[in-house]
Amino acid sequence: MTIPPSSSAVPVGSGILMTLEQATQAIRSGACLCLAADEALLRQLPRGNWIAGSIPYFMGQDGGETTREKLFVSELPALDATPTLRWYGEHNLERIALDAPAHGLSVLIIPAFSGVHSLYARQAPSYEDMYLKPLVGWIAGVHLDDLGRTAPVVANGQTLEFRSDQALALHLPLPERVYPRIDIVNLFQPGSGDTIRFPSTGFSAREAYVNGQLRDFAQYLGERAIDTRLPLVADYSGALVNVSFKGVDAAHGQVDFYAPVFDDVEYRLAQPVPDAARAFGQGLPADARAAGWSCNCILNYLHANLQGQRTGPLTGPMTFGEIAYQLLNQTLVYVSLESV
Amino acid sequence: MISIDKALLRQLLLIERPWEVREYRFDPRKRRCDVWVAPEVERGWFGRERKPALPTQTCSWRHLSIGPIQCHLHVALPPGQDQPGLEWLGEPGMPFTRGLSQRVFAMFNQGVSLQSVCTLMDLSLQDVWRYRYALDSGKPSGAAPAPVAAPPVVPRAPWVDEPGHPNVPDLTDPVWLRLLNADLGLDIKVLSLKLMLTRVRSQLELINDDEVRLLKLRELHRYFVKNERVLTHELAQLRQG
Repeated sequence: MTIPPSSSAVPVGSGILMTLEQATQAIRSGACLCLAADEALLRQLPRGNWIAGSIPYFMGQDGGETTREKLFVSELPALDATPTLRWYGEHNLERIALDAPAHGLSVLIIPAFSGVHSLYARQAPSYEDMYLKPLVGWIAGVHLDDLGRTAPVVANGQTLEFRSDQALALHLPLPERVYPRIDIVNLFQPGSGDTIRFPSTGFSAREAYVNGQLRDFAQYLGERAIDTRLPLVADYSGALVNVSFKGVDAAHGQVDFYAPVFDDVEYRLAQPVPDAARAFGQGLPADARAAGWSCNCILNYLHANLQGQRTGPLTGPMTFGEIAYQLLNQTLVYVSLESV
Repeated sequence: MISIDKALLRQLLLIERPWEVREYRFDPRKRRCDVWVAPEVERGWFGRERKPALPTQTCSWRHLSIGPIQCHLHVALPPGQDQPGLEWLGEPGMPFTRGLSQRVFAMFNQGVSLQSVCTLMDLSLQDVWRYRYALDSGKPSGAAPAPVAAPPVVPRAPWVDEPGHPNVPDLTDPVWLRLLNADLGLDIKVLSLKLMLTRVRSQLELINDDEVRLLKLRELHRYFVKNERVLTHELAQLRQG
């Protein structure tokens, strides 16, 4: 059984695109909110119980949309509790799951290209209490036209602080009778081709063990004419986890990724997905349809041409990375509340 | 200014020849004492050094506290010289001396949380987490060897009641090792369990220390205890073994 949100500030579901005026009203109602929008819009919001990150790409109620004029707003299930918002830098990021409530939900937003982004990507799986406490979130970004000129930001609605070098978490206690179930929808299946392992963990690789043989990885990708819009996929005890390609520099023999490859994980290249929008809609499990929060990946938005298309009932920002405990790529993440 | 006899300090820290306390800095306001330790220099008549000192590399570790005073040791180590068994020394790259590592590890083994270890031992979370991370990556625990042989493990009935958690197998149940070794094929519906199991399995591939392996097993058990109510599907399979 799913549990509806505690107020009527935002329609039931994983959120909607709103005007600035509507978002301001939602904030003033006292609701606990997670917002996504262009930085200029976020800076016009009043104080309240909200956490936000910059991004102009969305799956809205009318389909995929790129806009600097609207905000995506989803309501978090405060259920009479007051959330705690806390900043995390490189010096204390390992506290994130320790600080999370014993029973609750934490929403973490991290600015892309920051030191905390890189650190979280590499180390989050080893943080104390990681996986024991529900933790979701996303990587804030910018319009692709602004890359290199504008830094992504994260905002604390309680203090109206904006930062581009720190992550922000909203820790929300929940009654013990409520369990926030976190799950993912990953359209990508590992192909039946070569197995790939990497000699070291990192956001880039020069070499890889392809079927056990050490190869120049950029050269390997070129020889096979690999479509790098498709990610590497690893099987984590039944959860399929992607690592997306960022760039291949054959001249310098370097391949860059949007998440780190780990040296203790086996990867395969993903199979193509013919119709991603339809696949998202059809691939949703029953509990996802009642999700109260969701996010997806900008690479899915771009590569699957999701502008103007719907991905089933789930809505949310299309981000520079998704968090379901650890960092993910090209994955839809959702949270649904259950009674236990 | 407070003065401490170096010889007394050496005795308090159980530093024996050929090592000596060269210098110390005691800050009562910060409740911190930094101690510089180095090999004794051989001296001849008139106090002159008999032979030139060997090149050294300084390593720093947090050591056991002396009362409320945090102790930090900075040791000039001749390169290539491993000094096993000295509790006031640490392993390269670790934050604590062996003596302190043993104490911290013993607390982990008793199920004390990382946060509580920090509070009880007056340690920084960053250092304790660094130590824990090193263990997960296969570094030895630094735990002292057991003084006597451990008693043989007597198999317990698998479903000995955990107080308040009757559906979670006891920590000693062999089903946990079977799960970690992937000998037990489990259909898992919960995402966090899939991710956690993968992490623990890959850590175990690096860890040879039996005590640390037990620690990882406790972690997995703790996860099941905490999430018992949402793991009914998985626990039912564990019950069937």
